[in-house]
Amino acid sequence: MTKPGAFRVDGAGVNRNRPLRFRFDGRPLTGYAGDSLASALLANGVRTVGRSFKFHRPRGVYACGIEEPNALLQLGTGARAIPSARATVVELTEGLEAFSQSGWPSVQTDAGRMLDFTAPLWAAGFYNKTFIWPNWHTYEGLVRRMAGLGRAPVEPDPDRYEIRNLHCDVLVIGGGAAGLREASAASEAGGRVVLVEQASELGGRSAWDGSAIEGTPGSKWAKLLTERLERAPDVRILRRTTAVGYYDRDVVALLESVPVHEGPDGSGPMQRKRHLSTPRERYWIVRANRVVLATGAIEQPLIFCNNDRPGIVLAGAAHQYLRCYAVAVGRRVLVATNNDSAYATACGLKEAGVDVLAIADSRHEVPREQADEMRRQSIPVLPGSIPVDTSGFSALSGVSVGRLSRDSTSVDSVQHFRCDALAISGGWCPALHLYSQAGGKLVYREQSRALEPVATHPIITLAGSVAGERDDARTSAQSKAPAQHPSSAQPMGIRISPVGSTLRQWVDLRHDVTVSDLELAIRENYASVEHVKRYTTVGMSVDQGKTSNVAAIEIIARLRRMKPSDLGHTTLRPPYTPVTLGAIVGRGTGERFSPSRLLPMHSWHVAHGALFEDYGEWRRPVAYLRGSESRHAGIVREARAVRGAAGLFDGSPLGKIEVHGPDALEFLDHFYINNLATLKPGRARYGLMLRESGVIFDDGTIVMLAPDRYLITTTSGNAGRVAAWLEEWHQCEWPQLRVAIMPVTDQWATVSLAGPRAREILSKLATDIDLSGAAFPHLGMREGRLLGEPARIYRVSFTGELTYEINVPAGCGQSLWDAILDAGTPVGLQPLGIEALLLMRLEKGFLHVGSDTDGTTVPDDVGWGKVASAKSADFIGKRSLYLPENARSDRLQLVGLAGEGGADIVVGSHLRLAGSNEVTDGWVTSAGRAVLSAEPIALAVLRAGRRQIGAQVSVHDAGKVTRARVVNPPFFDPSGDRMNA
Amino acid sequence: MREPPREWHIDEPQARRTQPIAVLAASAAGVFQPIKNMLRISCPHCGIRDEVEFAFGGPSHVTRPAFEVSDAEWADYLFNRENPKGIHYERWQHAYGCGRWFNAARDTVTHEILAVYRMGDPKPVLPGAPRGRAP
Ligand SMILES: [Zn+2]
Repeated sequence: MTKPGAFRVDGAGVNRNRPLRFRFDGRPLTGYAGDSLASALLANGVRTVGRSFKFHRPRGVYACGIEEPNALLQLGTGARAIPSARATVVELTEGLEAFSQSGWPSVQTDAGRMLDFTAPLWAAGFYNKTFIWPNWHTYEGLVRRMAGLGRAPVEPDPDRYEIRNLHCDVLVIGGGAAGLREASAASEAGGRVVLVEQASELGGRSAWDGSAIEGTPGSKWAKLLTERLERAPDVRILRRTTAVGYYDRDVVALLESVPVHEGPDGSGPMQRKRHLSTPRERYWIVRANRVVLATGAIEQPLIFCNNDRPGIVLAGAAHQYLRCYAVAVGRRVLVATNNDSAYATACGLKEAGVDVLAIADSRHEVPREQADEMRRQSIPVLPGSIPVDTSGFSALSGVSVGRLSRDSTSVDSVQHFRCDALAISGGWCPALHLYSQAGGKLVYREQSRALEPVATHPIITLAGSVAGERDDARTSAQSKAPAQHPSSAQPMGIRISPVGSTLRQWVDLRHDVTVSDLELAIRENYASVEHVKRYTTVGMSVDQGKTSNVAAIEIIARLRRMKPSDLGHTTLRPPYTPVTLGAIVGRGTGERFSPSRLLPMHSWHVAHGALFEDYGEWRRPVAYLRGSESRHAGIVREARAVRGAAGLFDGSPLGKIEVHGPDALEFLDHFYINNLATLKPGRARYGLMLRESGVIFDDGTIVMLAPDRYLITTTSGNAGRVAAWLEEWHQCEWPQLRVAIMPVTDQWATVSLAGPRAREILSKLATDIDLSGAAFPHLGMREGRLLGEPARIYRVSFTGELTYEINVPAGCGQSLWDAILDAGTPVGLQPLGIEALLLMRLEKGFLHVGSDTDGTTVPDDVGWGKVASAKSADFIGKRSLYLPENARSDRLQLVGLAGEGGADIVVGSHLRLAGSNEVTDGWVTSAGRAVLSAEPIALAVLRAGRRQIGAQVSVHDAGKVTRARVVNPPFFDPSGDRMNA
Repeated sequence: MREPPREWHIDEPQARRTQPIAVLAASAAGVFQPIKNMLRISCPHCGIRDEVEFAFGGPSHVTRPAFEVSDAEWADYLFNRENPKGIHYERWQHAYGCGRWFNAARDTVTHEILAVYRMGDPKPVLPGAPRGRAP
């Protein structure tokens, strides 16, 4: 085991006076304030941080930024655990607990390693071809555990997230030198500027790579510009913020990680409770007039055999670990490149006292200035050379470098190096992800071996290395070698070793895709780059191929014997980096996601044992349970109380809409299948409302309050939809009609008093309304005073009993409720939940829109065909009733079922008629047991059902078969005497 | 300021008139353009608002046939809609605002809203718009 901190070298970047303790897979380690988790692991000589996806090969830290494909770790435990965190961008904090997520039993001794020796079996399409018997789900758990996808916490997320909107003139994405310059220029021009940087400090590479800008050391220049921007009035700087998506109409989404300020005892975020008002992350939705992408470039690898061993890192990353964290990636380092940029890495490591064995350059001609500099540093240069293989078991121990033939298609000789690190550079690809998401087109250019932008964009400006710019203002100051640049005037050398087994040449480290997988896909006739991607999964993991897509394009093009520029590229989709789901949801969780609506008498229901359930958006009492009574027993007791004496029901969600205006009647007549022309004041009429397709939309009553004032009721769940429906037709189709539509559901408490003793009970309350059956018959409506308050009382019944549906101003609901209970309890009145009500309406065979109807039900299917056809005026949906489909004689029709043999009838059961050849002849839409006899009863839709009255059907419920007889509802009081009493 | 044509409103002048969101450059260089209607819709009654305040209502200028039409004509009205790549005339409701329905011409490729106009107003003639079925 390596000595702690053994790879730390002299240099700046971390605060050596502030050591931080952390754990990796339980092992205690120490880093410094300023470290990333990855730099702290490297400093401690931790080589293997994970296992590869398919073959379980050991993998080490590979990059230094968001593009990291290997060091994806599980952070913390419990509710705040974070899966697949990129160690390269996690700031080290005191007490941080990190776990490798792909080793079993552990990352060091991994049982799955044997898979590596069966590699040829795991070719592209392996999952699709292999795990097909009996089905994928048999294997899914095992495969997922072996693959190491991290574990999402199962507890609710205790943190808070915020969504915020931001408007500005210029949004600058990327706070490196180019971004700082663009933000400064925009600020000086007087615009509102937002500058976004994913790191905790601005400056980007210029802050550490030793270059000079405008004659000033880069770090000092960045600091000056930062200070100036911080003082500017209209500039907002968002640090630790990544632009994750570029959406339609130039909306840019940013994800800001809000730092946790550590307590005075230095306790880290894992121990400390986050202050309630501080979100963990902010999701910014930005609308800018102009977007500047200064997103830099991402270094690409070289591809050769066994190019995945821990110790092989990108050269730019090796340089950055050295300068920003004072960490050397190894003690004996070989550098391999196809461009100029890695020379700075070689110089830097050499100056830090690291043994730099040589620099292999796949270009046959090495530029003079680089060659001279290497000579000064005594670093041997191997021109026309590329690594062809590596050795090592758990980590890198040696590299074989091949001397390329003149045409770079073969290797003439091989030289071996013993080393513990290999820094590779295959050139830089501009980070054009947002540009591509914005609809910008990319093309592969031979010169840079990278995808570059083709056209200009009306909103987006590219600045800095993302534009392929070589910044002449920047020259090397500290180090003699030139600063790293994404692209260079000199053509790049080859990126892919021409020799060696392609089974061992990894293209996508994250998804364990090798060159041989791409070969197989081409052999199996996949041609398009999008299809090859899906078949091999190259570039499809969480890193989205940031270090593999370009190499994949080159390889596929080579295999198809075409130019990479003709191949095209895969679509770059948001998000650019993974986004916490909580950040997208923001504060819209729990009650804020879907607020419950509460009844006017809610607290009374709570205090009296109501069992609540959600009905649509309303929390409603199912039943008021007594003692240890079951749900079912409570429902039956309440229903029997209504049939025997009386019940009291809070029906306030009943939809109530007033329609006023001289044309109100004409307007409403468009909506109902019923003829409204004969409506009289003080009378309620039941009506059905259709969609234009003829399908039943809603039902309820229509009451004329006055010739220019109407009150309609709707089902509870449709109250909002019906009001919107009326508005839409009024505004869009009949704007000339003089009406106003006012939803008043919430303004009224609706209390239903039902049962044979309802009149007796209500008569005990002071009212100016004559309640006698002669003066106030069924389907009457009276306005008056009840207990001194304005009241509207309907005689409508959903239970089949004598019912007064009493509407009073919502604030008066509770006192009315109390008064009725006081008056009625002595004669057997009980409060009544919604399920007993629904059971009694089933007995009466009353339609429940949404239960007994679906998206195909027209009026005739439920017995209202004659009413619809009798109305001469046009109404919404009328014409559709005459379409052939709606006039068929074998449509499903609503009927009653009487169960035989005593077994329950279950909603959803399918029905078969004797001798039927159909798969199904219908199904059960509502079911229960009669309140008094407890016989099983149901409503069902049955093929040509009204012609089947008296027939027997078999009832099929998940394999159980029972029998029932088709009957005409209702099941209770067919004469309606009780209701009309 | 140029007055928009009588029968319909061009989005941006309307926006500037009703809501001072649009920022014009103080500098003569003209670096800053008026803010675009990025996923925002200009309600003819309220001005520019975020799209989340609106409800989409499908194609506009669909004429409801009389009861006497043939089954085929009625079915065409019920089920068949234009689905152009390009300019689409459609109706929206400012559902979480004034509640009013209005028409918009939207480019289905870029989602740019090229014009908003009142219910009952005729289709504005826009450059590049495919000629749809007569309303
Ligand atoms: Zn509005």
